[in-house]
Amino acid sequence: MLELRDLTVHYGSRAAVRDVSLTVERGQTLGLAGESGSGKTTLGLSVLRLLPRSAELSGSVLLDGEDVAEMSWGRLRAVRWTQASVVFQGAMHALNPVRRVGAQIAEPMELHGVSGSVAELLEQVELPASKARAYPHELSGGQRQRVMIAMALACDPRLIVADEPTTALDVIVQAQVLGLMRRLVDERSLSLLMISHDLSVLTSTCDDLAVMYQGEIVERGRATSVISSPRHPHTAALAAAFPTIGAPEFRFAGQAPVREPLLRTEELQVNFGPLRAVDGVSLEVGRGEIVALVGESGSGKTTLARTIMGLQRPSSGRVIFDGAPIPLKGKALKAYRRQVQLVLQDPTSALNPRHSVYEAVAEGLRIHAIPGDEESLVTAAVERSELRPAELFLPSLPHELSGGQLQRVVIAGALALGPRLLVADEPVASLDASVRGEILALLLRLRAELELAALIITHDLGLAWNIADRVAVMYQGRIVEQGTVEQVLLDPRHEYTRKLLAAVPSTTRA
Amino acid sequence: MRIAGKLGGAVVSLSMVVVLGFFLFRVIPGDPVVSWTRGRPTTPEMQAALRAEWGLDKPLPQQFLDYLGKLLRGDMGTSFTYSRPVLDVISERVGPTLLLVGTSTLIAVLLGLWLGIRGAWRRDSRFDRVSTGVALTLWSTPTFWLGMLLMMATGDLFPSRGMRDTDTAPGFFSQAVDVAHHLVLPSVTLIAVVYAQYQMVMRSSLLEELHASYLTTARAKGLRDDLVRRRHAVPNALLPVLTLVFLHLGLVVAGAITTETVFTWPGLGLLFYEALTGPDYALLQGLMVVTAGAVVVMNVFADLLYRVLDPRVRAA
Amino acid sequence: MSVVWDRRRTAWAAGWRAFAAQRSGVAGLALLGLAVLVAVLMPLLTGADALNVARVVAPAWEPPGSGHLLGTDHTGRSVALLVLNGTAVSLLVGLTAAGLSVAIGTLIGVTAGHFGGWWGALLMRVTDFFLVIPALVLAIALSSVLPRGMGTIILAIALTSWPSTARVVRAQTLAVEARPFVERARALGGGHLHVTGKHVLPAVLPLVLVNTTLTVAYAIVAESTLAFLGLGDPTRLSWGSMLHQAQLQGAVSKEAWWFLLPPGLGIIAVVLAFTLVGRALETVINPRLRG
Repeated sequence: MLELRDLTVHYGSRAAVRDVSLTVERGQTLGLAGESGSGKTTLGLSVLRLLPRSAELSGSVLLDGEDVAEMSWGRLRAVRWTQASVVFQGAMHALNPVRRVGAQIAEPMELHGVSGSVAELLEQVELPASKARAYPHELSGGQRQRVMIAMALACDPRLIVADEPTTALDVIVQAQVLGLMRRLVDERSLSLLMISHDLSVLTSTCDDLAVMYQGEIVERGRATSVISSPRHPHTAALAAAFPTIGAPEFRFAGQAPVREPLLRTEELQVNFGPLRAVDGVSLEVGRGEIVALVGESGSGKTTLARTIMGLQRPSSGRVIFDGAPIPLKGKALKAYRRQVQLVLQDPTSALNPRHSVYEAVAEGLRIHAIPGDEESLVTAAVERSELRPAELFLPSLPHELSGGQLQRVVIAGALALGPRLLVADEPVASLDASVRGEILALLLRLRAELELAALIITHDLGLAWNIADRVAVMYQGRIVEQGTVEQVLLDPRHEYTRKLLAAVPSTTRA
Repeated sequence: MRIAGKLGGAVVSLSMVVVLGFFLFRVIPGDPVVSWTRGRPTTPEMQAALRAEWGLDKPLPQQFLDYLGKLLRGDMGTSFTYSRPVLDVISERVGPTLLLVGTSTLIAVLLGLWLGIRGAWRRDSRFDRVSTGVALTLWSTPTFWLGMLLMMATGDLFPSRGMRDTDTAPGFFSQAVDVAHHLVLPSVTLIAVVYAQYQMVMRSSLLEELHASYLTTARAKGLRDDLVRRRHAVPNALLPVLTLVFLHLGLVVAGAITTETVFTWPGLGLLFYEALTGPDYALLQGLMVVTAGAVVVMNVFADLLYRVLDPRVRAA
Repeated sequence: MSVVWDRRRTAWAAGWRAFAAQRSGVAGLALLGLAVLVAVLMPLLTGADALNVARVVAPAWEPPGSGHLLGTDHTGRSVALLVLNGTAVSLLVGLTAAGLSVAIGTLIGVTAGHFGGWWGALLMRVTDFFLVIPALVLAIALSSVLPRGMGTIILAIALTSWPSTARVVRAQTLAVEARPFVERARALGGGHLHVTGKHVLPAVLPLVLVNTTLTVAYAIVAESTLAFLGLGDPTRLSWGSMLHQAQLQGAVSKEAWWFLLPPGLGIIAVVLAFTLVGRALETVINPRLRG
């Protein structure tokens, strides 16, 4: 169906894809895994020759035996969407914001003279026909992705290229969309080339797996065997980032410390107008304890974290730190913020692009006018977060460092103030799979060495299994379940927790 | 609900215009009588009489209330130069200005949008470079200077004074032709200076939109380039430009003042100039309140229009 | 920290290279340099009598060529000398009015963006109001009630042209404040002064610079327009006041193109130069605009 022969794509002098040969047979489903910058998206775009003008392509892309690279523009336009179609990542941006989705689904049918009905297509993706009149912004993320899939099916193509089709969706919605794709591919015996950074997503949908690394395919085989016995070290690192919950080899946390209370919220409630974001939450974090706060987007977990930091005022209830309620303003609040530090999700945006590593780490020291030699305090904090030798990193600007290194800088900035609690909002979600393990190990070491407690906010149950002592599950502003990791993840009591666990795509699925 | 909010905002804006009119002409000058009678032979007795007549001997808040009350009754005072109510003088001049500004804006917008779209789509082509260069140069040109130059360059080809000749035969058709003939030079001047901003805004809006990923989707579906542009890119890029068209109306008004002055086109702009040479402060005050108010109202229309056109705003 | 200084120097050098890569921007800068030179040197080079109406002996309305490079005006003064000497006032008014306007705009924009709430909403309401109101109409009203003079012109232009800067700066302030690094700075304990001083202002300044050049362009045209309408400083010579005279003395009907063309071309050249420099700076700041 699709055959790539020695495909190489250059952007200027940089090769994004190097000598890739790959085939997708009729009815075959192939998953293409890789980290950001591995060239997987470029490869996906080259199937329909959608690369920007600056890209230079050599080798051949055979679609049903015909070379896409050699086609005339007219022929290429005829082939697009009829032989192969694409489900793009981020349906919010891939759909035209000011046209009704029905018209957008119908557009390729009119264009290629294919008969069919929008209502039927919507039914296939389990959406009511009335949604055809909706605009993209009126739909939820999952619904938009379904619209993208319906659109991809419009001209009955033989091959579908899906580029990160479920990234940015919540776990439960992701499971539904993946299930839908699996069903459609089976029913219509389509060929599927699915591109993702998430190995668990790929293995739950595809029979075969190819792993891409720095523009090259480093491993290819049946999905199950690639996962269970990876031959390339990069594949192994990728696989480790998607832990199997319950498997002891993925549990990194040691013995939990004896509980001594450090932070406690009492019936905390935060309202935004009529909306109740946090609804009566009582949560505890002990000294040196790692607590994972798990929930989907919109569950109120980030608001809860901001309230604990004193960045958001509670509507009612209290936050007790070290036996005393936290101050709401002035000098006392500033002093409190030395004790509790924030680590944000995306380190590339959590650092001011104009400030060097030194300035970023020293920022807190200067705000609090910490006495002592600034340079040695900064160096110590940077080395603590394992950027060694510190002198090498201090003058760097954020754009010169990798994601993992940046997250260490953020952590160093927090450590410089000698805090007792870290509040980490999705600390590894935007990092590449291979650095994820290193950052988690760092957090565990800091706990062991400094008795540093952490409240980790995440949507990722696997992360909780990796390092947390206790887990709290948040749903619609409430904590629906909390307990030790083993209790909550292995023997869930609440229905919502069960649903979450069931939706986690697992690499061990046969 | 939000429309009601917008209308409320417009009412607030209009009241701010009214307050501004009072503030500018009654408060800033200190003693308005001194400035209003500047350049005219007056005795202290005459000034005192004027002060009493205008109620300037009353406290400021009282003066403001009087001003407001009169304004609500459509009384904007009496013009020195015309010795007639300001509102009458102004309303006579509205028609010619609407004709000039209306035609010019319409043509300038169409021209600017077309040039902007073509330029952005063929970015850095010869067409783009030349049209951008011309636009920037014209944008840098003082309107009145261009008008004077055009007048000199075209010689007797087009009439350059007023709106109609006195000796034109009666009858709608010949009158209309005469007005159109007179309209050529002023409107060309106004268009030349104004269209550039529409072109630049359209061009950058479309360039910005060309990065959008839904255009890749459209291309992947097999759409021809011109369809991708017409159906997807341009409608999206056009939306923000629409509000700017109305927001820039103030600049058109500014251009109209000098254009009408140069070509003695009998509209509000020329009236502005006449009021300035007087100086006829009552007339100036009225003109400021009326033009500013008109622009505020136009912008409310723009906002409502935008609400109808953009589904994203409509829902919000 | 010499490292920091090295880094700043390289950043500036990179910025300059990006600017220098745009020929139109460099041309604009060269033109500006020339204009400033003329503005500073001409008053020193011109004899006291050359522009004194009472002392001039040449005939009025003399076309270019014979003796006078660009002919003479209605009083017999050399148009070439008038134009060159008019540069100073046009530039001075443009620069000071723009500086004042951008300062007001930046202050209001940053305050409105940073503090938000009802205070920010109020500031924005006022800004939007002044953005919609025709600036020139306001400037005309202001300069007609205030005593004639260069200060009035500057004030009238500055007080009516700040809203666009305020808008742009507010948008950029909001964009910066939405970035996680500001949240991080707050979480570290940073107050208003820290956030605005260390994070917002440095990010806003390049934009302010661009806006200044564009506002200068506007201010120069506005000055000439006010002068043309007879609101200028009657004691000072500027390009606008020359054109005002040209209109009053009927240069058009006399077909005295030599009196009309030079001041207008002077305005276009300087305004275009500022615009080109501004656009080139904009491209340096926002690489997405690059081709």
